[in-house]
Amino acid sequence: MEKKDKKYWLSLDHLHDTKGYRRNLRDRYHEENGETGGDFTRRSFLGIMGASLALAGLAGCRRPVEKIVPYVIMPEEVIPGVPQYYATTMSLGTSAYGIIVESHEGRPTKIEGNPKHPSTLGSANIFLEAAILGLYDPDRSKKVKHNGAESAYNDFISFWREQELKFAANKGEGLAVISESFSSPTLMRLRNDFLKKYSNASWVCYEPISDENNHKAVGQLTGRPLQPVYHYDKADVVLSLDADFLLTENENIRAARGFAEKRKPDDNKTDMNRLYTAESAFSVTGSMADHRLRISSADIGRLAFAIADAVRKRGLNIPGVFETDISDFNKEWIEALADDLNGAKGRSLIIAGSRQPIRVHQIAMILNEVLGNIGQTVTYHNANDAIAPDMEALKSTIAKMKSGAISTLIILGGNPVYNAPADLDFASALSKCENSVHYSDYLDETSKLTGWHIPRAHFLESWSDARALDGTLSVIQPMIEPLYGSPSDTELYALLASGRNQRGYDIVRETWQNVLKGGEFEKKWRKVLHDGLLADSALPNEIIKLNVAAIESPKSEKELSNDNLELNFYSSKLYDGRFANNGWLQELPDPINKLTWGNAALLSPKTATELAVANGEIVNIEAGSAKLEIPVWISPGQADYTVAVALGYGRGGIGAVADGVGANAYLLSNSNNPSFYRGVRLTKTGAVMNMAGTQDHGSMHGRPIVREATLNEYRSNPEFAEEMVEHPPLKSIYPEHDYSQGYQWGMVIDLNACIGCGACTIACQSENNIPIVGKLQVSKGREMHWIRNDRYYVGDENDPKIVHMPVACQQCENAPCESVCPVAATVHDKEGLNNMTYTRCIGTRYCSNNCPYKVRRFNFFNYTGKYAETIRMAQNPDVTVRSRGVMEKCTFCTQRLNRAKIKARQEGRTVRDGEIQTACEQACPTRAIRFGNINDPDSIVTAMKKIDRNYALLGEFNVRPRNSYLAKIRNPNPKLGKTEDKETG
Amino acid sequence: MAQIFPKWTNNIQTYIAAGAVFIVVAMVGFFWYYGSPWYTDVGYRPIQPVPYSHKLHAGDLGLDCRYCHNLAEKSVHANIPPTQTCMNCHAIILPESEKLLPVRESWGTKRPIEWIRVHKVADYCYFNHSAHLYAGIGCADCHGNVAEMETVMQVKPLSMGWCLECHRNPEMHLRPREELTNMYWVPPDKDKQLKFAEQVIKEKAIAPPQDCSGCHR
Amino acid sequence: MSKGITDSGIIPGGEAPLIEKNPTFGSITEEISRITERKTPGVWYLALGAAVSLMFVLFGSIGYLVFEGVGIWGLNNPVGWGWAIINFVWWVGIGHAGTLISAILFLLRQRWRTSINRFAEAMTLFAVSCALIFPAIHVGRIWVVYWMFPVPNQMSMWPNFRSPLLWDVFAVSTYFTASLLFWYTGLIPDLATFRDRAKTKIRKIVFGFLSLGWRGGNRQWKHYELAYLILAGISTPLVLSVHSVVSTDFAISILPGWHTTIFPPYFVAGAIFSGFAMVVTLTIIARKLFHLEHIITVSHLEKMNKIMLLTGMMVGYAYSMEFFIAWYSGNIYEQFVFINRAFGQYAWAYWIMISCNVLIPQMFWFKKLRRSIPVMFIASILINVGMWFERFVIVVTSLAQDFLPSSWDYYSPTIWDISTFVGSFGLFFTLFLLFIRFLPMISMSEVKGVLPQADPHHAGGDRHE
Repeated sequence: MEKKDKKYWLSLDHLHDTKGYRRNLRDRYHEENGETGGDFTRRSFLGIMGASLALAGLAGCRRPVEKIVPYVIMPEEVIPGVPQYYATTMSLGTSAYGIIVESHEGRPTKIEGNPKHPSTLGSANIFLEAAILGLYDPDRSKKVKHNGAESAYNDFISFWREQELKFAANKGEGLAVISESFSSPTLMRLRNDFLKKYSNASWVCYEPISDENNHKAVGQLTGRPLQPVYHYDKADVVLSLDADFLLTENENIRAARGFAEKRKPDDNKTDMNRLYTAESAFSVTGSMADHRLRISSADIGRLAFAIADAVRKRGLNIPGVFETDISDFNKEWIEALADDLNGAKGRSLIIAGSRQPIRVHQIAMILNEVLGNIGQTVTYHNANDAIAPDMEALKSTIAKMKSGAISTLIILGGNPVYNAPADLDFASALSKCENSVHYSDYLDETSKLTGWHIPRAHFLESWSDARALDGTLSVIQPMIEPLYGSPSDTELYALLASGRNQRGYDIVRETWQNVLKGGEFEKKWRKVLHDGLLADSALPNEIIKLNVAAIESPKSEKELSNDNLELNFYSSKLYDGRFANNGWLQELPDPINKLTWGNAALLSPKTATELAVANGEIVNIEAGSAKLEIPVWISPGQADYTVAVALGYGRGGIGAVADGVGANAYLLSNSNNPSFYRGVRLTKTGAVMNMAGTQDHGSMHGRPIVREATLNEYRSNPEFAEEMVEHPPLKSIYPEHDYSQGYQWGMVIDLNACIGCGACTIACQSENNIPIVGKLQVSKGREMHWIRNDRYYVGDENDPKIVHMPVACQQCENAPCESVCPVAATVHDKEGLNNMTYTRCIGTRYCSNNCPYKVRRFNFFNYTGKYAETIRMAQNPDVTVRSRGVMEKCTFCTQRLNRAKIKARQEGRTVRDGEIQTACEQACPTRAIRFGNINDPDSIVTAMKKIDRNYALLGEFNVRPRNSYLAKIRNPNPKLGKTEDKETG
Repeated sequence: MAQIFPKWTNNIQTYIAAGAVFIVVAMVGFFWYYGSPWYTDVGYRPIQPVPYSHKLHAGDLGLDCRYCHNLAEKSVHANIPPTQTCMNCHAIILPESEKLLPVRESWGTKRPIEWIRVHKVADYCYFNHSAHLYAGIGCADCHGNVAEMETVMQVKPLSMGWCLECHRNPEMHLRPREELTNMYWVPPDKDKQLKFAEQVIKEKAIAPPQDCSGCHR
Repeated sequence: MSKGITDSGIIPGGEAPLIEKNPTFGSITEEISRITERKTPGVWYLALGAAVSLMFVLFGSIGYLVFEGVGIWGLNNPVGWGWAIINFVWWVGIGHAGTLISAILFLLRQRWRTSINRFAEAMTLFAVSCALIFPAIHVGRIWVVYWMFPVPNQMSMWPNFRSPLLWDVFAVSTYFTASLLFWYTGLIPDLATFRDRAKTKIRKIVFGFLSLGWRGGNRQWKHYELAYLILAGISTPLVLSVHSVVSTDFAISILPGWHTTIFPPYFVAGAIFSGFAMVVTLTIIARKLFHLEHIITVSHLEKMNKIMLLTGMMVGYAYSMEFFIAWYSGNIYEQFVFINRAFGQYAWAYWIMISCNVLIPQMFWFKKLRRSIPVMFIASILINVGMWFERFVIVVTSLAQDFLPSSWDYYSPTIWDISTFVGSFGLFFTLFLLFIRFLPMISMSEVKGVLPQADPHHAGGDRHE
């Protein structure tokens, strides 16, 4: 009665494990909270999110009385029922993302990319999309706290006035500030004012996820603080040394877009780019690679030198690089790569990941230099107004704190008690400070230990400004009054710098008086606010000269083994943990391992077998004295003997969503090598944890699901995708509908462009009021995402390739779901869409059973009933909020279709191509998803459906999906022998 | 031995049969009436916080509906006017009136007047005023002759079946733009109206949706 | 009654008589009526108590379901139908024996049916009542389940007549109505007998009312037998239609393992199979308890076992056919599903099904086993276990692993799935206990019809009724 097939890919939870294994889990759960207790915990967790809906007024004789409350004075420009769109900016570290915010009656509900802004180009990533939920998070800190007691901002102001008097005398002796890194003229101005005033004070910047090493490398080689900007849209050969530039590095949207631009195989003239990656844990970038080298992070340094050496052997002068021992590397790989790089001078790009040490960044920079890439595929810009993190400075500050030299410590953002390297023991250092202030979104680990806690205004509530990496200036303007009256960054910085309690608006305008010179300030200012950025404010490329001293090549470290593992930290979908209380992000499946609600110790199948651990088994990671209990998750493609752990989990007491989810990897972090180190052991604890993964089965079982070929195969046989399935002529027994008239909506998803980042999923969740269901429900297979991202492994178990496939409702013309619904709750409309009418649905779930794509989602409980008022504010008023017992699914954003159609008709025209974007299409950083009218011969979607790679998923069943896919193409180096790309599992 | 059953029980079958028939008819009738589009909130006439008379303003004074509901043609909602709109006139006209007390209060305290909603379609129906007005559906078609109502009352069922009737054949309901707010408009003789409708439908590309997605999102 | 000569009484070929201990009409009446007239045995109260408490488990579970939502069951995204639908199909299946015995065997003049038909029909009704619960409660919004019926409404909406679920509603309710009428018609003469024997006033009134003034006159008998014949004619196609329609719930959809044309006959065979098994189980208990061994003889049971052997092999054939078609179709999804049924994550369920439904009945090739009460008792129970698992395999395996591996998942029930199922037995047995206590569990009038003395040419045979 067991599944005998041991091939890992039948399921990463071997099927036969699964049963017994899941049964244990279930038993565990019964013990814990009874069969449905889990659901109660879910409830209570939603419960904490607020009170249940109360009907306005009492029940009248015939129906409940409903009030209509008009304005007293009608605000200008507000038309109730018509959404408004404003431009603003979200900054994350030193990157700035220009966004457009949709707002209904002054209530922001949706974030989209700003097409004019260079770092978003109209697209978004998961952090931008999810920020809207962050604004309405009921767990946000609302009150100023002083020594744990409630206080007021004014009390803090008077506190600070006293401090001012004290520090005015000694120029800030014993005063220290720890801030987040930022890139903002206003904040920089205020910081400088502060330091001018308190010349003896110290201001350090700390970020657990930082590109400090990159900046240091640039600084050492050029002697100037420059910001590199990578131009993937110009690179034919890309080498990523542990750099996940498509998802986690700076300004990844622009990077992904540029990369995708270079990856269009359909035009026979231009060639597709080729991506080489070397990394330990499978990253989104690695999944897109044509050649991925599995290698421990520490060895990447030596690899970089080996590559440099190989390049040098091709007659390029690389100063100061010495021979290095590369006996344990795949020579063939390195040689082929070197040839490619050498053959693409000025068109190649080497990028080192922010996790890598300075040395690797320097090698990458030198390689770019000698290959003539600098100025072409990578440019350097003055990093004005930017402050980068600095670990050394942090260390010295902490040392001073411990010595008691710091009487007043001000922590602006960040959460060092939680995320500063464990060996620095920030908490105890903090206790030595007489006065301490923490300014943050949540009453978090740090706030609880500081004397003062100041709640922080969300960026959608604040006035500020920011610079993109290339220097483009943009303004951050509030979409809504601060919900809890919290001060904004600018306001607090200003208070510290000047002692004056100014309005953010005035502060920012003050800065911009110098930016918008030459008169007509108001006009220019209004334009900036309208556009969301100052046009052409990007800084020019700096011509740089490298002065390369001899660089010591790293020695190979002690070889890895079962009791000498390499521990890797990587930035997760919670970033560094600041988004831990965001339910959308917690429930978003990890792009690679598909885990939700928690992190895990990722191991390669080989390592797991040798250590005899299975998915969900809780192990102890022992790094010297530090220990961390965390469940194991087997991740094919992980480098052997390396352990990867996502940062940002294991929070306590910050919010209903974040608390108790996952394990806190910072407990193992180490200030000398913050990103990875060796000498780690795993020991079993015997306990097992229920892991909420959304995809148990990683293989396609040889089914033609994701259709894939190499560039050459595609060129020689363009029709390959269609030819992968043979089927009889497709005829329906029902009379054919006529879809030749009017709008006929359709969608194309280019699997060659999709990087699997999940931005579409979050965008959809935000646009369509999709609830989160909590860990237990996800583990039961009840997640609600309308568009999911399927991840399949292809090829060898230990070193597979990955393909991503976003699947939403395929809007079949012959929809199997429709014919079986007993109450006609799901029917077709004349524009070819498969409508789902929630109010008519009685919840037989027959439609879902009969859906070959399993894209329908059922409300097993009343997930939306207990939202907090603030969460209700985040809902899109144009979309019904579904209650218990009804089926729901992707509608192609029918609310957007209707709005556009009505608008077009009233303007006496038809809807223009591109006028309607579905939420997923809009968010997609690589434009992999395109939507439009397939009846319009000139529309983009029609053009894409004409491409040879176009195929319909499960089209052989004559369901006639309106969605179709463009097959995936890889561009392997012919020199590296035949790849297993054709295998589909 | 004594009879258990009295004589009348001999034709008990008849009674049972009759009873059965009655029950069946009653049940069908029940659903037929209470299930029909005609059993709705028709006749709902709540007392409003301000004794505002549509008859006076829209009728006798002949104010255009869009003087107060000025966004009806621009927006999803035909907005309830802000207090400001009332005060535009009533700052001068009847500034002392008892009836207007709540309005002046609201104006003074800047606290809005809480009107009671009369015409309501369910939250999951996305009715769009601007779309209907553009097509040429008059106010009175759904709201009845407001100009003769002291307090507004719901006179049309506003049920899905009722909506569909017009969506299926809108011809007799389409008006020229200038007639939209005319409470007394009746279509001219059939052929003229049909001709007119045909032409309007063509030039405005009017296609009343009968698909679920038309109203349910 | 023309063929009666050969059929009734001593049957040529030396077969044992249908009714043993050659009783008189009077003794038949006496024995069967006495069961309901004598003082209620304590064991009956015990049994009823148990059954009723089980029934409350059912109502409790349903209450909680309505309160919380179907999430309390083990359902998940790929597996939208779980135990509820399995139980529905299973109970409906069991509900087949009764009408088959009473209608089809009646038309085929299988006179041995007389001893068991009343019994089987009652069982049918109760089984179908249990079945009807599940489609009603498995929906997400139970309070609007009436939308399945074509009633006028403000939305001016019809139900979707293309949906097999809708066909179910009609098929099963029609079947229930027909069976009820059939059963009641059959009861009338016996109810009259009870009325005439009644001592207490209540019995007089109740049975007097229920027997609709039956006098047993010739004209009444004439009409009665005609009505009975017509009802049999009406019910016969229903026996075949109900489970055919139920099977379309699966056959109409496109899932591999569901989308096959052999489902209707295969389901009907399965239904009869399980129905007879249930009748055997219950009969064995009843005849023992109430000492009716000579009326419900071993040869009656043997005949039913033969039918089980036959239908058992039919389903066996269907199982093998499914595999053949899957292979022959060349459809990779079909092929996977069937391989997966036999060797995949639910293989255990599959092999339980095979051994119970295909292997166990093979015992009935041997007369000795066929006539052994303990053997057939255990076999009949195992067969119903097997039939339950057949539905489990069909419903769950196809859903859990269909087209896109990404959406595959594992389904396992929760305590509430189980309590609802177990509770449905409570309802079943409660009804059944009430039946055997208050109504003639064997059709006296019809049994008398097959006694030798019922034959007009029988020595001294004048018809008593």
